[in-house]
Amino acid sequence: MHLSEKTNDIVRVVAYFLLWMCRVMILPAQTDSVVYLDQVEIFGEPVDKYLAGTTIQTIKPGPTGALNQLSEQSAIYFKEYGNGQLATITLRGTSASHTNVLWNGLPVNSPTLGQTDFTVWPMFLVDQLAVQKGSGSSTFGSGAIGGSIILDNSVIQPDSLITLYSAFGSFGQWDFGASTQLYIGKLKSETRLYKGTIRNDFPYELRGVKVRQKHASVERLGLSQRINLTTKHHFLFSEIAYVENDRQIQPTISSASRDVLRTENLRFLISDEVFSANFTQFLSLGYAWDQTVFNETSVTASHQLIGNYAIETQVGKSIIGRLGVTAQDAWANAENYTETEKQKQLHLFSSWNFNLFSRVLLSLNLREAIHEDQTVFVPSIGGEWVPIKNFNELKVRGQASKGYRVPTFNDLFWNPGCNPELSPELSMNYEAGIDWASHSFSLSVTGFTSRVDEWIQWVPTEGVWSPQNIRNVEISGLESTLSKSFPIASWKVAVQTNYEYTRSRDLSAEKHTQLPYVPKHSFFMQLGVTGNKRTSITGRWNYTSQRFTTLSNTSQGRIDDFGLFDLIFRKSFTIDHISLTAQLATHNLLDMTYENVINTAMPGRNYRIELTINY
Amino acid sequence: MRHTLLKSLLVLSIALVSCGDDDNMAPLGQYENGVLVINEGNFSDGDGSVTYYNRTSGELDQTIFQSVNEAPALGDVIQSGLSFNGLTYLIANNSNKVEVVNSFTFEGQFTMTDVALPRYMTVANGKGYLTEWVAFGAEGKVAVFNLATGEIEDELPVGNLPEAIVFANNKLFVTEAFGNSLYIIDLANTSSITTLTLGNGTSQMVLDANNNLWVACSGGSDINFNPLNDGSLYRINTTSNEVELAIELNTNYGGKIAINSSRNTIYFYVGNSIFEIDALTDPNLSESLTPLFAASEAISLYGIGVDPVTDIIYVGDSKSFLDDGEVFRFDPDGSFIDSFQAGRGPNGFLFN
Repeated sequence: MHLSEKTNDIVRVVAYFLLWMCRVMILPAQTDSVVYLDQVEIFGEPVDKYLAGTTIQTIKPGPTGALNQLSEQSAIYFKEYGNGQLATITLRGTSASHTNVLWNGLPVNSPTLGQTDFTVWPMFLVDQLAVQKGSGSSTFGSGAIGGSIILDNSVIQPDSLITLYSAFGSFGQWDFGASTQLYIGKLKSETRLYKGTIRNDFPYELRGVKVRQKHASVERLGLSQRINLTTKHHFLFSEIAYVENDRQIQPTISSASRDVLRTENLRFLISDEVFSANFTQFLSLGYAWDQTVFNETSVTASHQLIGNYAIETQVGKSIIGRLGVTAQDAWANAENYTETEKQKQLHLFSSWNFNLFSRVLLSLNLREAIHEDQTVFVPSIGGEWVPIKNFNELKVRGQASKGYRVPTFNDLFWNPGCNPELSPELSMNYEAGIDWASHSFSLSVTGFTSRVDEWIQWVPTEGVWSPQNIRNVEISGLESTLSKSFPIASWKVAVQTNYEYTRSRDLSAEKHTQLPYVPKHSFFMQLGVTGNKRTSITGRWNYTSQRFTTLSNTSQGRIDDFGLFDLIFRKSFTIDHISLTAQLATHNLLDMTYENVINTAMPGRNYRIELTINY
Repeated sequence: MRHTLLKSLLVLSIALVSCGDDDNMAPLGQYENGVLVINEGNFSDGDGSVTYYNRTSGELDQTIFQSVNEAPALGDVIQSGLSFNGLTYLIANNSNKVEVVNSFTFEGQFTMTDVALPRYMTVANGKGYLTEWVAFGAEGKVAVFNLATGEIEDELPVGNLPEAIVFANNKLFVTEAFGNSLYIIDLANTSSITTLTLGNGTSQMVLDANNNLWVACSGGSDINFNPLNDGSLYRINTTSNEVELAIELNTNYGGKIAINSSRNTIYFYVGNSIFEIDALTDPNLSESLTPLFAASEAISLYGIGVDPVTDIIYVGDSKSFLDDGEVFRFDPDGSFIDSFQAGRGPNGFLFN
């Protein structure tokens, strides 16, 4: 980090960062497989710097698949409309539009839908990924009610000059990725290219007969160019990324529809951190373009232009604070909009950290968000206390926050049905937890409760579907992670478990039943065995309890629970300066027939071979 | 001897034939005496279903297509259904298919898959006539098919988005969805189509005892898609193809319509209020209509039907598709009888 070396805080940041750098550089070749899951507190410009009291899980993605495959590696539930199809996230019992997605700090949920299709983003284009559960609106703006997904590529890691990645798998899975790094003086550049296809004619059982899925093939393309320039007073970063996804929309098992969807997404950012003796300034300018073309004719396109300025300074020994402003302009076209629709936003925010007796850290965030003629004030306050801090560490933490989400373009402008009178959704969120960490064992437990009012729901009125602020939702739950590692002979064994219990009830419904597509229980367990740092075997089990499609919660709209077991074998070699990693993965090893979304087939047991070459 | 045998066979066959018309015959199937609720299902969820309601015992059976046929699903958006000659045709709009089952056992007979966005059907001269949107922005069509096999024998051209279809006076009357047209196809000369312009939102139709056609027009919207509150009801003379009567409702509504067994009373709903109109006498157009009754507990009405056996009025509540649907039953005088649970989005009723 390039902040001044005044306080413990900063020393801590540097220490963590270096530690993390070491881990990133050393670990990928020896950890289990696709991702490296760990509780790391800070990376780059730390996303959780002013989020004392919450938990952030950071993940170093491997090259495989798309972002929704996080579901295979954690207890996070993604609603997947088939294999390689639309995938939306559910964090803390909310819906797809209640998770904010940030790309290098830019909020990039589609302004038309207010959500992200995670299947369009190849893992190969993402360096760092963090999941912040719970409301982060005071830090991240509209939509961060259930949580935030933070994608960060801002620091080019000296991984390898050239990386080649290739994968083949069942039912016509094929992936290819290449990346190259260049160093010119203080300038670092990295270029990445990804191409993937899935023929997706996987077999599944229908009325006791094995049939093959039809009309579900997917083609993906991704490109990214990143630049870092570090000088004494500047940390300059720029990235342009483009992804393309062409898919046949997988029909439900009772249908033979022939719909196709093509999506394109472009992201651009240039940012500068300017360091001077007494303060640091952050400047960034970003642009996001999203386009979907349904059945080759129906085009929806949106643009977002975002400018950001913040200044950060140290006050005395124990206070650090930041003041900033964000301006955002979005415009969109769709067949069902009357004209090019526009929305402006202006955010004023301030964040403060108070470090007391080096054992207590308090964070205060204030945000005034102005969306056209609506103004929302969202504060949050959080704190953590570390009563034990020696070889082991115990941390007690808690946070109270307000969250909000403004209506989407479709809510406001979609004809017929749009409702320009909609209010923003508002939420109050509380959470508390403890973390215990020792050399080889860690445990983290968090309890949370939140209430979301003015929840927007599309309902039919006189034959026309229209969005209304009708739902009041009360959510409570528990999250826990536990990890333990120990040696057996020369092998290192690592166990990680993740359990989430979520009760998400609609108070405006008759019986206060569970919201559709919110599983009550979600469980993830991973057991990895690593031998001589070159060979590893990982088994993982991911369980999702039953979901309902309606608020009735009756058997008619019930989707059964499922548990998927994966087994991954991995081996690395080094020949001269070239390192090779080969991986064989078996997914859904028990060949379970299951549905994620109602009446949508999913693949049974399937295989995948991957090869990564680093030079 | 031989003569006697023939005679007795003849007597026997007569007995059998008369037995076929007898109410005390062996049951045709477990769903013989009852009401079938068409539950459209949520768009793209493929969770359309049929609920069976026994009108005497009150027994309920959900998702009967799935349970009888051991099928995981029936289809996506069951737009409508029609029972004829012991077969029930279930038209799955977004599945591009028609599932045909035995009306009384619900055992699957065959599936018509060579159809594109099918909507409604009728029977004329022993053949099935099925409207198909084909695609948005494209010309729709009416498929002519063999009722026993589902084989498509012919296609009749028609305007955009052909919706409901009614047969009368050897003519097909077809409404235009999201439009204001009534297409009239004379089966004696199918190449020429007469188009009448009616009110905005031409939707469903019924035929009254005088063989006049009632067309429900749900109302239109302006360029900003605000409702124009111009919903209406039209009465068409099916012989002369002329508009005989237009009733302005001064509100938009669902465009769903039903008629009683004597075909002299028409029912429709606006919001939660159910209205009736005497089909055979000209109403006083200067008087505003007053509701017959209100389904006050309903959240979002989505379908209406009248049992031809009992004249009991059935209304389906979609509950905004957020819950399982519910069906409310009312006497012809509008007094509430009871309600029962249905599937998602109950949009219509078939009466066995």
